[in-house]
Amino acid sequence: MSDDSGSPLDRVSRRQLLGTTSTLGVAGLAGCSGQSGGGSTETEASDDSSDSGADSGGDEETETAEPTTSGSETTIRFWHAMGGALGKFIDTLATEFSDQTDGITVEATQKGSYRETLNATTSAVQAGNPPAVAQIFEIGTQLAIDSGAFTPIEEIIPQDRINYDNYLDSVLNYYRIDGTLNSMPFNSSNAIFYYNKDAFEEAGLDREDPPTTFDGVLSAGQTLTEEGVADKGTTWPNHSWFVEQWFAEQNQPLVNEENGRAGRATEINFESEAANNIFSWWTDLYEQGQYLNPGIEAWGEAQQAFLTGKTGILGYSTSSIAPMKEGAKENGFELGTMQLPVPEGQRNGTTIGGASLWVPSGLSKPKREAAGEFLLWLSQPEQQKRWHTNTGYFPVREEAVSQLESEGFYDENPNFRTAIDQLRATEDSPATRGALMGPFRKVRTIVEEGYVSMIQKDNVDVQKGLQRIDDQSEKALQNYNQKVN
Amino acid sequence: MTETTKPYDSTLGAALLLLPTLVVLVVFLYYPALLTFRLSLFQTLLLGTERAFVGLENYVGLLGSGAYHGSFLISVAFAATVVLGTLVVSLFVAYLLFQVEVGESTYLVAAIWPYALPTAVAGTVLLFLLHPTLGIITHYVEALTGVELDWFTSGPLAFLVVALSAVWKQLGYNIVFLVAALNNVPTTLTESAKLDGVGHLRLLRRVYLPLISPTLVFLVVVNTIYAFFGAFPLVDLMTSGGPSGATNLLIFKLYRDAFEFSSLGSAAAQSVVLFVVVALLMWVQLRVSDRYMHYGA
Repeated sequence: MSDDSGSPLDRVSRRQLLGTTSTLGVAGLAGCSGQSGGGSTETEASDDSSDSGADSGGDEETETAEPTTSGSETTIRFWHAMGGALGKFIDTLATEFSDQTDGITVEATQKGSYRETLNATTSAVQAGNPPAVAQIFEIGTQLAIDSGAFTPIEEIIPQDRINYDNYLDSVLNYYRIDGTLNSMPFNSSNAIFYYNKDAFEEAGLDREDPPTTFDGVLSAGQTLTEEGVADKGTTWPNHSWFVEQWFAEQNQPLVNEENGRAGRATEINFESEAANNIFSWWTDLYEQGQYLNPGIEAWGEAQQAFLTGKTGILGYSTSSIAPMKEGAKENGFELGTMQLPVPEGQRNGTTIGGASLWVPSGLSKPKREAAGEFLLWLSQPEQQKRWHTNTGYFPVREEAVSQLESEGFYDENPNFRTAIDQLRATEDSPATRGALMGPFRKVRTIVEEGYVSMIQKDNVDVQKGLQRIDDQSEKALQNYNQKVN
Repeated sequence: MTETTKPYDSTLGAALLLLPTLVVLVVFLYYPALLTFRLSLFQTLLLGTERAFVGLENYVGLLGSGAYHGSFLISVAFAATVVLGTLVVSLFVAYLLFQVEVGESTYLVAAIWPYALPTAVAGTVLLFLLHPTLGIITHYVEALTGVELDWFTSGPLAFLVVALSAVWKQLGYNIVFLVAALNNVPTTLTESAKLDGVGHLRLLRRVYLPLISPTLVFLVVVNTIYAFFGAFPLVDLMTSGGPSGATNLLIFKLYRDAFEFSSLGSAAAQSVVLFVVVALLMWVQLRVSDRYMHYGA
């Protein structure tokens, strides 16, 4: 019926129809929006572990009322992004600290993913009700500084209570900017490659002598596939974090201004030879059927492909040494670890990934002091040893490593040794300290999507792809810098 | 119909009863919408810790952004595919359900089942089932047809996978309404048509479709909203908008700009544009359909 002849009858009926169906309709819409809420759990796993916040974004605890400071009892909140077993471990640590320390109680809460924790913390600082300690991922460092919402921990922890000489510089350096330590490294890791020892042997490769170079990985993969032991040679998540590690190994800073540490970064180095080395090799691996593409930041899928024997080699994080070993055992093969493969002869070290603990500004004095106590306690060798051996995350204290060494831990667990050797072999330079930039998250997405564009059917060649990554990233930097000024 | 009795004598009483609903709408919809509009005029750092008024600059930026244009076109194409696909498939299934005489409720439950699954869960499960190298469905499809289904690197394939998942997810909802609408068609019409020897498909097209058109219009509107807003978890979990932006729907893009890339102002502007587009679209849908709709069966 046309609108012109629209009698009141039409209108009423339409309204009625919408009225009667609206109940179900609204219920349906509510369902839709509810689901999209659930969907906002993040796909971006943190850089280091598939079971960090990512998998458990849903079970955010309801915020308890502002803990009160009554008498000598101080209650502080610790917001973190660790789910699953790691989250439980943090709860245990918080409870132990509360039991051992008079007058301080720590309430640990998982605030979702890394990014959600950062967002929640800065919002809470604005609202004047921040937690005393917040876990923030490494690429949020520049953002956290620019937000002005945090106090460097050097001002939180009393100078006479801490001797930074006992800390691992290779871990601390990432978070030390202009000589000031802004946050306490908590879960630090870098990239490491795992391999299937049994598959290597089956293919006639030396099970104790894994490849160490780009070419070595390619030829080992070819042997594995030719012998029919694996579908493809290797896999790792399409994650910019690996690219950043390979930049460091080749002593190539990611951005200018000494990787953003001498001033605000304005240029990115994707048109460098180092970038070309990485992406030529990576696309070549794919085109030769030697790289299984698990998807963007697909930690879980990459791990699954490796554990089910589809590939013989896996690029992953040191933070998963313990669980990976378990997984290999369940799937009936022996796990080996190898240092990050590099282009011929260029091994300068890796950068730290993971997260650190920040203390927001605007806390009351007792809370600040309590936060300092908690951070000090966490970095004691006993806690650090447990943290390290249960996960694979690096300890921050030199003593933790030397104690474990004399206890023979690394002899019994050679996989952990690979990780710690790689960390110790790292030479301090702007490249290995890691990049600082505000739009790091965006740059990572650009890099990952850039790689996909190089392996697509109507692909752009590596040169052009890198140029595109370079342009887009610099635009992002420019936008960000303009906003900050 | 023209002479309806008023259920309430006092306007004040009616207003009072409407008040709770209005309060909820104002507090949770209108006020945040206004704030979003305000935010779209600012440039922000992080979640608004620092903000500067920039007027319409965010909107101007969108006008000149190639990525935004691409995302816009993809969203429209996606909505068209999903709305059409959902309606056609669910109409067909609902018609079969309407005609089947044995075990009707079992079929109905089976058809509605996917709707009971939260989209986020569906996205996670589908990703593993359809994964180009690890997925069991992909494995058998590739083995049977010999076609390579690498939707991680093929844009059109990725678009298709997400669209099909979205259609599948929305089928149940459509089928419930369509079966109900079909059951409301007077049986006398079916009987006389059958006496005249009208075939099944013709019966559907010439008799049922006009009579259930109000429900169809309602579903078009709901499906449109779903296609623009509800498919977010699928994109987020399955493709992250890739490859090369092939599934970068507006709703996903604005979410990512806001919460991952910390451009809250620009994301707010995108949100306002999206709202206006969908509102306009619905207005057009209702206007156009008014001409063809058949009420008062």
